[in-house]
Amino acid sequence: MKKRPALAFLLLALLFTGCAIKPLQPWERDLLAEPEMQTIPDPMDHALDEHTYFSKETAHGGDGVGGGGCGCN
Amino acid sequence: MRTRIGIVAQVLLCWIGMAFAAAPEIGQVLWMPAVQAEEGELDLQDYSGKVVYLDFWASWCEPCKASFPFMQKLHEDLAEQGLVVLAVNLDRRAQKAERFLAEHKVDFQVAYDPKAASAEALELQGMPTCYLLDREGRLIFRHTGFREEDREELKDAILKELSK
Repeated sequence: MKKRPALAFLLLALLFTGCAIKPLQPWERDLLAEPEMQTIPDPMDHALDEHTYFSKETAHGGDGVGGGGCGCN
Repeated sequence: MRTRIGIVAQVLLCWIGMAFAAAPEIGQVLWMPAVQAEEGELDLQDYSGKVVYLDFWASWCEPCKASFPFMQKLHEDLAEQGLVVLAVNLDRRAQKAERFLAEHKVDFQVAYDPKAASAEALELQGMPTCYLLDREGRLIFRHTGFREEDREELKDAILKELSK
């Protein structure tokens, strides 16, 4: 029975470790610019894919933010 | 049992305290962990009696590139009057800093902190960040970023401090 508060503290301590995940610091921002962090890792490959979609399906875009793939924008 | 809870509570409070450690304030003596320079470890206390322009930079940071000629000019013009320009590099890999320094030749003091312990201690908000310290090591101002129009403002503050 006496062990309960200690157990509760242990659980709390474990829970607090979740708060230890630090956001990216200003001096680490170069990491975001690394090639592997890009949404389109290989622009050439992406351009070829786009060309294929456009030629075969008259579809364009839709894989990013703008455009729904209707080929109308 | 109570002591044990007390200890756990203290540890937790310590964690919380560390998480919310305040950034240095104007007028406070600036402290940061020693940084590595070619001549060995550098401490801010080594520059007591000098006005220190402390800059944090990295090779990937574009405004840092723009700030280098400015700092070199400061060093050339004002070193004799008692200004020390100290640029702390925060690149994780030394080669990147070396490549940058090969392109931007400078005579002022460059130090390295690949683990960014100093940046963490000072809670840098952006890159580059510069600090101006008076002859007693107290913080006069802090400036984040570097734009062409900042030059005059920074230089004026430095000249004002040197004339004291």
